[in-house]
Amino acid sequence: MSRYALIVSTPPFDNKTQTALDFAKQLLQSGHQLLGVFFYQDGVTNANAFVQTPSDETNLLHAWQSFQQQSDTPLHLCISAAERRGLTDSNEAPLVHNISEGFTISGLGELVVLTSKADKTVQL
Amino acid sequence: MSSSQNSATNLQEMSPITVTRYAIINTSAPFDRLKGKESLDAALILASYEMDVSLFFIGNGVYQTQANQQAESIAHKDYLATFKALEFYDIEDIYLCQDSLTERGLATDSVFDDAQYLSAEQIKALLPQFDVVLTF
Repeated sequence: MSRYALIVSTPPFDNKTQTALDFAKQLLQSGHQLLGVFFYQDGVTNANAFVQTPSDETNLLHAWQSFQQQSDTPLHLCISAAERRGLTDSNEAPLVHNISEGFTISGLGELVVLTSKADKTVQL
Repeated sequence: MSSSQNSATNLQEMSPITVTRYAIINTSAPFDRLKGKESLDAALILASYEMDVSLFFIGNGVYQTQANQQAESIAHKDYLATFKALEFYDIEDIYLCQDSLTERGLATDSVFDDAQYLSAEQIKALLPQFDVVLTF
C-alpha cells in the first residue's frame, strides 16, 4: 500500500485527463491511498461549471464529482492558475462563481503538502 | 497569495515533514502557453517551504535559459527575469542538457552563472535520485 498524490495538468478534452481519473479509481480499488488530486496548469479548467458536454459524450466534470463524493478524495484547485483561465469564486459583477462543487480552492502550498507527504507522485 | 498562506498553516499542523527532493523538468520554450511561468511559480513555492529543488532544462526548455530575450516585444511579462531570484530561494542545482543545446545550435551558455551542463544520458542517470519529478 502506497500513498499517492496525483497532479492533473490537462483540460477536460485531453484524453490524459480521463486516464488520470481512471488511474485515481484504480489506485483505490487496488488498496492504495490517494492523498489528493491537485489540478494545475490547464488542468484547472476541469473545475469549470460552465463547460458543457454534448449529451452523447462523457461528462468528465460529473465523473470527477462523483469520484470525489464516493471516495472523499480532495480535489485541490490552484486558484492562481484557475483565475487566469476564467474561473472564479467571486460573485462580484461581472464575475460569476463558476467553480464546481466538489473542488477545494487551494494554492501551490497544497502541492507542496501533497507531494511531500506522498510516497509517489504521478503527474498527467 | 492568500491561498498559499492557508496552506502554510496546514503544513505547520502536519509537521514534521521530511525534506523532499524535487526535480522540476522544463521541456517547453519560454512563452509556450504558461508552462515556463507556472513551472517557475511551483519551484519557488516548493523552495519557500524549504524543499530541496533542482531545475532541469531539456529539449526546447533550453531556450528558457538563453540571455537577451525580449518578452515585452510579444506583450508578455518577463518571467525569465525572476531566474535572478533563484539563489535567494536556495535553488542552486540547475542542469542544462548539453545535447539539447547542441541540437538547436546553441552555445554552452545560459543566464545562469553556475549551471551544470550534462548529456542526456547523465541527466537520465541523475533523475532516479529525486523523490518527486514534475514536468512542464
